[in-house]
Amino acid sequence: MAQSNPPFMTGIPELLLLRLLAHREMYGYELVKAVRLTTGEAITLGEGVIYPALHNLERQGALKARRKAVDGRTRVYYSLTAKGQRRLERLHGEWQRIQSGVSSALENPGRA
Amino acid sequence: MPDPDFVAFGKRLLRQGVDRRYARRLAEELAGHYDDLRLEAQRAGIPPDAVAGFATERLGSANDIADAVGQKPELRSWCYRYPQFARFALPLAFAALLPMTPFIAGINHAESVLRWSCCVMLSAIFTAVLMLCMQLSIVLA
Repeated sequence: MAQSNPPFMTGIPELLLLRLLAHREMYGYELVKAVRLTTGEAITLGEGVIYPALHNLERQGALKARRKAVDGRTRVYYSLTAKGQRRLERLHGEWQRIQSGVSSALENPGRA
Repeated sequence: MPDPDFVAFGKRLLRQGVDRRYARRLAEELAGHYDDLRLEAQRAGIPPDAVAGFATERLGSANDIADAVGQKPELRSWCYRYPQFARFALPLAFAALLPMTPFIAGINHAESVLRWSCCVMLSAIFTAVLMLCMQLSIVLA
């Protein structure tokens, strides 16, 4: 059975999706595989749950979707918009700030 | 294990108030994703009777996906996002459309309207001919 992600994961799937889509356009199944691969399976997204997240990002203008026929099948490909790129930069900055703060607290607990 | 019913899932989302566009697309994308997972299982050598179970487990339960959609209010249709406005605007819109109804019905059922018009015209011609015959019989008698 797949190990579930910890509760502090809020916002991380969004950051990962934006980061992966900044590289190239992808469809849902491809994105889930890319998340597994790039995080060394440390983060496992509920595969079906990825779509509401993608639709929400599209609704907010961070992503754009287009239908594309590949090998006789029509898939919905997602790509980053300029607004999505700005959002990625902001989230990336926030993530680095939080990560360094938590790392510092975990490594030097006696500083307080 | 039977394959999930994605059409029924799409209808469930519509009943939940999800925008028609997103509900339809989500059902389509989930069906495509399920097919990809089945292919992955077959390539990995999973026995045929376990393929559907593997794909369903990886995709996640319908309840989890429906909950995830429910947590995104932006994906709901505007009637559900602004119910007070919808209650006010929809009756007004329908009232405005009411005088247009015969035209709309005419467009939607053009074939029936045409058939009905032809029948009325034929019966009018038949009546006119009958009247003419009666008139002639009176005049010539």
